[in-house]
Amino acid sequence: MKEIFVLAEHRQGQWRDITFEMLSKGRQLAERFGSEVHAVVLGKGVANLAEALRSLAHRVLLVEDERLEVFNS
Amino acid sequence: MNIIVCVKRVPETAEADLMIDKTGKDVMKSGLVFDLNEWDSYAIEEAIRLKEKQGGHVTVISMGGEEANESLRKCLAMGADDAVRLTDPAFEGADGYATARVLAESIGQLPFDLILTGTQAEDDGYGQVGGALAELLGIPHATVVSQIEAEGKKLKVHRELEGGLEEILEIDLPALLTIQTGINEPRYVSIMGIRKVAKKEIKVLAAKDLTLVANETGLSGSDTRIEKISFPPTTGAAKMIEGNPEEVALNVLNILKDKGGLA
Repeated sequence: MKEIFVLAEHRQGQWRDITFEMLSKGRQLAERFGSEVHAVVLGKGVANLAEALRSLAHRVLLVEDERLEVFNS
Repeated sequence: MNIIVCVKRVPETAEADLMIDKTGKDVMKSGLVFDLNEWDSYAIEEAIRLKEKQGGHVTVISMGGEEANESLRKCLAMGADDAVRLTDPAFEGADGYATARVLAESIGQLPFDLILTGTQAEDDGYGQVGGALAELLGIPHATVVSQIEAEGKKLKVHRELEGGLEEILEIDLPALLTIQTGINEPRYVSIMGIRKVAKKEIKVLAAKDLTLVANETGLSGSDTRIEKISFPPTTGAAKMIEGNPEEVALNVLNILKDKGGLA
C-alpha cells in the first residue's frame, strides 16, 4: 500500500470527531504497511483549520475553492 | 416529472434469531421473512406523492431473482406505474458499486428527472448505491433526505445531519436523492391492492440487455468481497450501582481507581 488518504470532515468551522478517529486508524494502518497518511481538506477559508492536522498526518493536502464553500461530506 | 425509484427486497432481521450459514459469509435465510427495505418504502411513497402533486411517471427498479417481484408488486400497488427487474447470474454477489453499475446501465435507457433510493439497505447497510449511481450517471445527489419541495427545474431538499443538525440545499434536476425514514408515512397496501396489480407486466432485463461485460458486474465486478461474518463478541453484563448519591459517587470513584481510570 502506497498512501492512505483520509477525507477530513469539518462542520461549521470545526473538525468532526470522526476526522481524528480516521486519522488515528490511518496512522495505525500506515505503520503496519509502511506507508503514509495524507489528510485531505476540502473547503473555502479552511487553511487555519488544516493547520491543526499537521501533527496528525504525514502530509496535509488543502484544496480551497469557491465551489467548495458549502461542500460537506 | 419522470421519477425512478430503486428498491431492494431484504430479510427482516431486527427481531429475528439469526444464524450464520455454512459458507460463513451470510446469514441463513430460511425462516426469515422478507419485505421491501424499510428506507425504500419511504422512497417509493415520496415518489408517488410527488407524482400525485404535479403529475408524472414513477418507475420502480430492483435487482434480484423472481422473488423480487413481490417487492415490485407492492410498489405497483402503492401507485408506481412501471416495474423493471434486473436479473442475471452474473449480477450475483455484487457490492454497492457493482450494483450501481447495473442500475446505471438500465436507468440510462429511460427518461428521468429524479431518482430516489433508500439511504441504506436493512441487510448490508453500506449506503453506497445511491451516491455511486449518481456519479455513474453524472448527476448531482444529496443523501439522507428528510424533506423535498419541488421548485420548477430545481428541488429544495432538507438533509438530516448528525446531532440534530439539518442542512437545506437546492439541487438542479436531474438529480438523485437517498431518502431517510420518517420523511413521510408510507401508505398501507391491502391484499386487494396487491391482487389488482398481480397481472401487471414486470419488465425483466438481463446482462445481455445492458452494455456490461462480465467483469463489470456481480462478485467479479466488486471491489469489496465478504470474507466472513460473525456475531459481535458478547461482553459482560452492565453493573448497576445503587444507593444514595454519595454512596454511588464513592462507589464509582473506587471503581475508577481500581481500573486505573484515574491517572
